Amino acid sequence: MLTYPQPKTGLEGKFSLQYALAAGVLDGQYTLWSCTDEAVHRTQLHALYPRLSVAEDPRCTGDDPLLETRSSGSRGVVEVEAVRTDGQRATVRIARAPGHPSCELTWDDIATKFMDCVTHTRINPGKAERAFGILKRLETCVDVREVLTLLH
Amino acid sequence: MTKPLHTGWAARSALAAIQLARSGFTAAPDVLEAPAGFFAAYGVEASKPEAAMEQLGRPWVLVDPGLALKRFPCCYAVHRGMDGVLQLRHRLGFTAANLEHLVCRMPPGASGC
Repeated sequence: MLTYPQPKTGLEGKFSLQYALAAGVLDGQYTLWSCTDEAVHRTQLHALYPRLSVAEDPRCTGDDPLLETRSSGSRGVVEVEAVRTDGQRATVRIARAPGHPSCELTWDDIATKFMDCVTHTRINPGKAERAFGILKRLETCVDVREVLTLLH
Repeated sequence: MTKPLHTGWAARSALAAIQLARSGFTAAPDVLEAPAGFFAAYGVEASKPEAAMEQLGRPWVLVDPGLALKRFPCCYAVHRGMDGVLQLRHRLGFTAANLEHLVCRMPPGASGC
């Protein structure tokens, strides 16, 4: 499902629904590291894949008359259901991805993402935090070189 | 590397097109809605070029609904399923050890990229 039901590299993992679900179950979060070869190769994932299933379901069509014109990430509704070994279960239905204009990311979400990206660079974290502070009020930043210098 | 490259190329092409148009460069005026135009190439059966032309810039989608920011570093088609896993993990408190089964149901046609 999606391009790679059993991804072999981090790049393939970015286009795999099965991997995305498994990594979320395993880690409880998604970071840039989630899409590395190292993360995709973890053996614990193989025990998880048989417990995950993915299907297209007409009940997720919704009532959008323009459904056929929508992209994969924005058409209809996605439903996820989980069952614990003790029988407890729950279901969520999600129409819009987090970060869509109708459910914007908070500044905390964006800061978390920004600083996660920084850990994959040689940028000093303290300087990155200062740069992020300036980026939050970019409209009033007098000299944009201030940010560029901190991120170099 | 491809993702940032094709986004950058799209932006570069847009700027080049604007500069060419401003300099008096001409091209087919119906390139979007013509029978063998952009919409015919990239649309689907249900696409309505005339509706798209009517709404073009009223307002620009950059303004309304506005930009979407990705929360996760992967294909947008996967994001709602991922959000679902995190929400359920929080609600049910499961881990890889005590998860019996998890199913992700997608709308028809939404499982390709």
